[in-house]
Amino acid sequence: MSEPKHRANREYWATRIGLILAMAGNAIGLGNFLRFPVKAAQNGGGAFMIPYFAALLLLGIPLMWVEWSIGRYSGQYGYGTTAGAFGLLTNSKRGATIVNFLGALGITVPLLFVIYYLYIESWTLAYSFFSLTGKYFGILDYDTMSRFLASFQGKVHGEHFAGLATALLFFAITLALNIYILSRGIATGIERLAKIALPTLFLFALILFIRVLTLGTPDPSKPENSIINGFAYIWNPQFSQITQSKTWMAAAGQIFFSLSIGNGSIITYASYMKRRSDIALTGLTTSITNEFIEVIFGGSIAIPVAVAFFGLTQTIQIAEGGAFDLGFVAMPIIFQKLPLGQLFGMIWFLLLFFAGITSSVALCSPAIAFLQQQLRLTRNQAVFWVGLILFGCGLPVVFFLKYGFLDEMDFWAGTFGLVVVAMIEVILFAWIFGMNKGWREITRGADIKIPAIFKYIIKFITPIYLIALLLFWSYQDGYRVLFMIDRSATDIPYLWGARAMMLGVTILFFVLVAVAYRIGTIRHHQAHMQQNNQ
Amino acid sequence: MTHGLTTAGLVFVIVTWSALLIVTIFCFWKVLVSKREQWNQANSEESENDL
Repeated sequence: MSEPKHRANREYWATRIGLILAMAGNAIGLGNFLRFPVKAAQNGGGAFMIPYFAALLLLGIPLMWVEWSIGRYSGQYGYGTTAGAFGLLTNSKRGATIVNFLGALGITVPLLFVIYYLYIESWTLAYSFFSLTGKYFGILDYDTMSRFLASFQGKVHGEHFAGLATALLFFAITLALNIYILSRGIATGIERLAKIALPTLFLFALILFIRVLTLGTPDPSKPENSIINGFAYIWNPQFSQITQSKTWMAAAGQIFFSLSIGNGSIITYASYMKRRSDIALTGLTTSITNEFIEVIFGGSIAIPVAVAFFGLTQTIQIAEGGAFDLGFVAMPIIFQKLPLGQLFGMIWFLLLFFAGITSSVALCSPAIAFLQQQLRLTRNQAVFWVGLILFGCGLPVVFFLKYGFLDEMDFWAGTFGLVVVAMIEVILFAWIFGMNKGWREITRGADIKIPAIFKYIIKFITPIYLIALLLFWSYQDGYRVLFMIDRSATDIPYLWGARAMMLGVTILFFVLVAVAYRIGTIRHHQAHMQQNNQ
Repeated sequence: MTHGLTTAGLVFVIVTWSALLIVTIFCFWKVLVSKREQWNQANSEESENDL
């Protein structure tokens, strides 16, 4: 098949290692260092690794290969997002139109996700600065440090921060950095960031890993508060837990979030690959790099050091409080008790910042790719408009955090939406496009041989796993969130505001997909359909 | 209440970390090897064109 002419001006990754690092950066995020250790400790310790690696093999890696394949395949036709890519997976013209409109979700879900993710990322930059300047130094009790965070976030007033000015400043800086990187393009922006950020992130994680391992028992009068007991909390297996479905769902959920599946960014990144570039080995390398960072480093820093300084009982309470309590309350207290605490604190928060920014630029990419390729904007124009959406929609996240605005977005975009998109794409790929063609796509140009059993895993096991995950979360959280059970009357208008904003952004992109059809940048590919039928 | 890393816990740590280390190194090594082979192939094709 001759190369379609719209690929002539398309961007490509400059190097294979740059692509791997960019994809790994997409996957590696705050969750590797904060969410994973909490989930592991709460769901069976070492025994959690059994459902965790099962989910990696049956859900994570297969979906990675599916998304990479869809991306590389659709890039040939000038599509860098699911709006356009989905239509290529069906021979029916009407079907293609329907799934392309559904594919708008593959743009809006990551965009809505990154709107609040950027705010959290800005906290890591702010806390890096606070570590350097020692702003939180002197606060050694948990409640006061909680109030420091709450004051920074604007949840309480007139304590450590006068208002939201500091938070807004760091949000603006973080947004500006993301926009700058995105405006530079794939090779000189995102890839260059990955080549700097990933090795730096690895180095920072290694430094903290060694620092934690050499801590021993910080307070000899409390011998039970030790790094070894911290490791024991995460790794001592509780086999009784793996007979529970919630453990398997927790493992599947962690793999799903950890590998950044279902948010469209992998498809966009893969669309910048050349047709015969390997997917099998490159996708596997990306996944395993993420797992290395998550399990070895992520599992060895926050929780063990929290047990060493707070003891097991309080660490369990901190973990139940969530990732923010662990990362932004417990850790700043711990750093103050270490020699060179300001330095280690800065390293910890910069580690989280690098993990965050490599993910946030990926999450912005589908919307930018769509505006560039389907609405024919220049890259700078596309980045400008996406930046404007992020700024405009980010302000309510900043101002209404205490009313649950961010949490509402996190459920619909950052949890429910991802699984819905992933389910659509795997069913389209395996059942509509067909696993024979799909397998040919996955294995085209492959540098390793993928066991044939994955053909059946992708077709049968992965969709069932996803449906089970969706039903489980809907049962566990969906009803409560949908009907705002146990929410205060004060919060409810803001939650509806969050929903209205999410709906507005979604409708906007449905309209833009219609515009793309109108101007012919999404269309029915007759030649492609004929080839598929051969 | 934990009282140190048990034998089972230690086994899980060693097995998991070793497996991840081995697979990660293998993958990156394979990426480097396949890159060298592509370069060699491209270079030999270029040499044949020059002749």
